[in-house]
Amino acid sequence: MKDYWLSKLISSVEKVDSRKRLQKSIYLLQRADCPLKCDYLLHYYGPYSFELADLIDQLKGAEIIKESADLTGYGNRRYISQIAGKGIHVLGEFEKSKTGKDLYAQIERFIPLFQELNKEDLWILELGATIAYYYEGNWQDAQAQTAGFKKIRKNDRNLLKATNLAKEFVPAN
Amino acid sequence: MAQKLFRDPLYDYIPIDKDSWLLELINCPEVQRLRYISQLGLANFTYPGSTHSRFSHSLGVLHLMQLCLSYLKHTYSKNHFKLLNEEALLAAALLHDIGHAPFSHATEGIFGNHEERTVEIILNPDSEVHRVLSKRAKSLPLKVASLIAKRLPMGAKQPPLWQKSLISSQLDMDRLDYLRRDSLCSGAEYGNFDWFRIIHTMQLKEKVIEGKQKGVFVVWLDKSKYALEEYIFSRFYMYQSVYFHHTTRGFEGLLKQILQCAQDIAKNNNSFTKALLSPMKILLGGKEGKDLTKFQKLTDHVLIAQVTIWQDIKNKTLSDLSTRLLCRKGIGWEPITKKVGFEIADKTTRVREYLKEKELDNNYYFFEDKTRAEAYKPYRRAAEPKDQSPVNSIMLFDPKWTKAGETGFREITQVPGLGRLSAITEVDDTSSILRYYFPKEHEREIKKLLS
Repeated sequence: MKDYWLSKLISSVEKVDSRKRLQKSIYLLQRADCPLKCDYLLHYYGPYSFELADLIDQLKGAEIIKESADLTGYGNRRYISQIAGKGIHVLGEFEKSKTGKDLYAQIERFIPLFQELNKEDLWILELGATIAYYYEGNWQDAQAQTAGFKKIRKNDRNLLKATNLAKEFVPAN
Repeated sequence: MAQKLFRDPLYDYIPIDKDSWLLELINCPEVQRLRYISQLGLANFTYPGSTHSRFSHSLGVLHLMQLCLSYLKHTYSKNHFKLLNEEALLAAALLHDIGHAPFSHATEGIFGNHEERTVEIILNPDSEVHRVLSKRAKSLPLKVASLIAKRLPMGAKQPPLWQKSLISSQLDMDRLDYLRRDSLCSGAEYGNFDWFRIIHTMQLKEKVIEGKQKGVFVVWLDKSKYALEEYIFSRFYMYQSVYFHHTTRGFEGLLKQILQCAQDIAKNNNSFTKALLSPMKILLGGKEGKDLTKFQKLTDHVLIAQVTIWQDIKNKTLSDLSTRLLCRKGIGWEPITKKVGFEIADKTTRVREYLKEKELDNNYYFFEDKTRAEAYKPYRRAAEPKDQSPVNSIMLFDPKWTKAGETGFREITQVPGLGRLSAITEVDDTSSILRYYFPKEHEREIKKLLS
């Protein structure tokens, strides 16, 4: 029921300002044991999930969410996701059922976390997700690997902020 | 050096140097096992010719990697290849599928992710492939594993993404082989495209990703755009007609239900567990599930033998499901478009209640298939330009595209003259097909409940 959980998270905020934000936020939530469990791999901007990208497409195709394109300052397009009218209705109906209530109970505690991530600076979020990806028991190693991967200084202040963000989601080994 | 020639229906001959380490790698039991793993799962239930193996496909991928590296070395100076590990790329091409369980993707939900298992085998000092690779170079197993793994193995360095993209991306040696091979063997002649041109017109270009971060992309120039377009259309047709075929998906789903049912019985039934064929004990998970010696013996033949035995088992459900599969009894199905699973949860609950009334275990006789969430996917670009990498997008380069802040790089669907690609790459009704499967004899009632 990943489709329900993702719709529920998106419905909990006014909008998600880019697919990149959605990708990185869901990655961090998963590290905190969120039940979505999409497969991720590492690419230039940190952890990326084809499965999540497909899930977003499915929700869009079924008109549960709507996406609009926006031009960034650099001339790039980014896609803003929002819950659609049909999505609000369908979620409401589903949550009246026993299955809906059970699934809601599993995602409930992640909703405020997602809302916080939705307000986070996108660069910090991207760095935080990458640090979390590299973390295997040693935060300094993860920071160093991220600095190397993202070509930034190891003592970059943002790296420290991002590490603190990652620590909120990744259980210490 | 004298060459060993493998006869191949796609390339005529695949030459490998005799006495080479690659030939030694091909002869490893982990690679030879792939002769007994069908490339297309149960596609032969729909296309009877689809009986080819993962072995012939793996040889094909190795062959294409050889051609590709030879072309790149010929075209580019050594500077471009500072970090190129040719041996690791060749080995990764050959070994990328050794972790497949019987019937390939069809049983992945039960026996686990094949890429993870592949990496595990390569890194396991007891495996023969590990021995051959380490003999060549101590660091080679880790390098090969890092090219294949989704998550970087402990202690490995991240290989350049462009090299990883030759193994696994939207256009890699794997896809260039399997689309044409599956097309030829199935008889569904949609998978043809100009693969030779695609390989021999690749370019390597450095792109500034963000600030100081640079990355090398595999790109193509405008002159190759129609070959690439043909590849994407071929891929789309093959997914629609072969990989997503409702009959194949239905029987593969049934096989998964059988294995799920057996797993559930095994939890509380010692005599059932004891009677399992030894390699099938992987089903039990835990320590048994990780046993690579058992995995080495787990092939299509063993699984079919086990299902044959289960036809006569006391458990009515497992016995009936096994017979339905082996006798290819009809299977009912209903496609649901423009809806997601939770949206029709009330209807599916009613179907489950109906099957319960008919004394059929609704945990196994009714199942869902989400084609988009599985391993095979038609081309889907990364939606946002900033998200595009050599792995998730097919990129073209043209110096003309450097005006107005553009970098000269464009994702293929954004290339002038290829607008028609949007017909198959944009989200539409067909991008979220849900299918429900159930016993054919209850088709009329269940279709009514789902409508």
